[in-house]
Amino acid sequence: MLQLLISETDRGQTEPLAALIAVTFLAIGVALYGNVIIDAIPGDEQTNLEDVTMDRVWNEVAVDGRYNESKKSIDDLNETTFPEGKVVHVNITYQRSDGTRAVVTDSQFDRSGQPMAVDPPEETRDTSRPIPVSLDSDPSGTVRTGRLTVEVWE
Amino acid sequence: MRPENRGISTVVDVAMALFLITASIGVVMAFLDTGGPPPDPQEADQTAETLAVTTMNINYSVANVRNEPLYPNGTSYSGSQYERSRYGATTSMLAKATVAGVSINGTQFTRENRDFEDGVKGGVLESITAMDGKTRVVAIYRLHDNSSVTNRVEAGPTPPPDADVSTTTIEVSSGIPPLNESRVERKFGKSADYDTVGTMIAEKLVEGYFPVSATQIQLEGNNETKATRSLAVYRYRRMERIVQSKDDPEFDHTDSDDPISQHGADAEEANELLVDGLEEVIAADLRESFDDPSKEEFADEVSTGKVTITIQTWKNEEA
Repeated sequence: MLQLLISETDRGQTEPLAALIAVTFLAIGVALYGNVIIDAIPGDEQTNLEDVTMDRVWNEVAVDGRYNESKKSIDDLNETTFPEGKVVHVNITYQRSDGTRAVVTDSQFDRSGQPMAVDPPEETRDTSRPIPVSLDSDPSGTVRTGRLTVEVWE
Repeated sequence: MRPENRGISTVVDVAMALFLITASIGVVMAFLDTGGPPPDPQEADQTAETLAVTTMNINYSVANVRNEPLYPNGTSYSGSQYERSRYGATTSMLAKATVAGVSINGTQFTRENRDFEDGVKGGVLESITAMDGKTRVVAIYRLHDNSSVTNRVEAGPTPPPDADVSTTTIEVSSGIPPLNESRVERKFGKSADYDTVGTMIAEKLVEGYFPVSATQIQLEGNNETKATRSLAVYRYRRMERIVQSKDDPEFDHTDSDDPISQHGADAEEANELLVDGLEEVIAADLRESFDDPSKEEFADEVSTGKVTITIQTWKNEEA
């Protein structure tokens, strides 16, 4: 037994192996906890690139708080609106009175922020928000509820 | 115990520590892991912004008023007389519908707006569906928290009980003139007097529901195009009925210079008579709901000018 070998000067020393194991598990525990808690705490959404991009796009393109293609369209956006080195897909839809969804605009911008053909990959992170949409084709001037969706990838 | 044996229980200690740490991690993981996707805290705000800008155009009918016993008999009827149309931002239309249906102790001030309220609810629901359907909108008008003068209009599905809900609240003008908060505070502080404030509120309500110049035109007019005179008379009669049970004011409509007759039309006088009756009803409502408040608290609680709209959004449980 280990205890028998311990002289009086070693009193109070812990067993190094047990201590090491304890510290290791503690570290693993803290790491696991940290991972989970970061996902669970609300308010970090803004750190997502697609959320930031969506906010920038919306701030740039909104006229009187709504999207109006004839006043300012997605394609008029300056390339500095988009994150450099990323491909961005922007899509705006609204709902027709018969319940079907119609696309107002569907654009994609390449890594330097220039318009390109729309072809989003299957798996991307996207984000969306409700927005008001004005349509020139609608003489009644009704402002409809639409949805702005932004996808960002490498 | 021999000195060299001190500290020997470390194996048990470490085992115990490991167990506790593991258990606590387990507990945290178990609770955090079951909730589905976290709510987007901005979604409710964005929905509110959107509803404040989107518009709706509601065509509705007030023809159901013809079944009301207080509606003047013999008003001619051609369908289009009772057709109405209103256009506005979604949130302000919702506020209008809420105010149009206000009741006191369960009795509505006026009942011709049922179709309007349904139309607005339908419009809000359409907006909600266009956003993605997981939104509930509740609009409330009330003079204060426990007031019996109140109405509530709701649209959209109720959130599932286990959903993480993000909520935002906005205030929209009710169209009824607002009370001057510091004036209420001054009046209330001086005499600790529910009657004085009751009168102030009654004046604002009558002004809101019977704006003098517009009502004067309606009372003087005929019913040819929009049945506006009959509707105005109906609304006065109904309000009179609500306040009449409280003693004095006599609403005598046989007099030749009756303020709501077509020839003697006088909206200002008719309104004063209504205020005389309504102020007592309102004062009683205040007396019942407040128990010796401070004047600041009281002035802060009582309001006529706003409709509170609460918007809840949530996300679907991920399958």
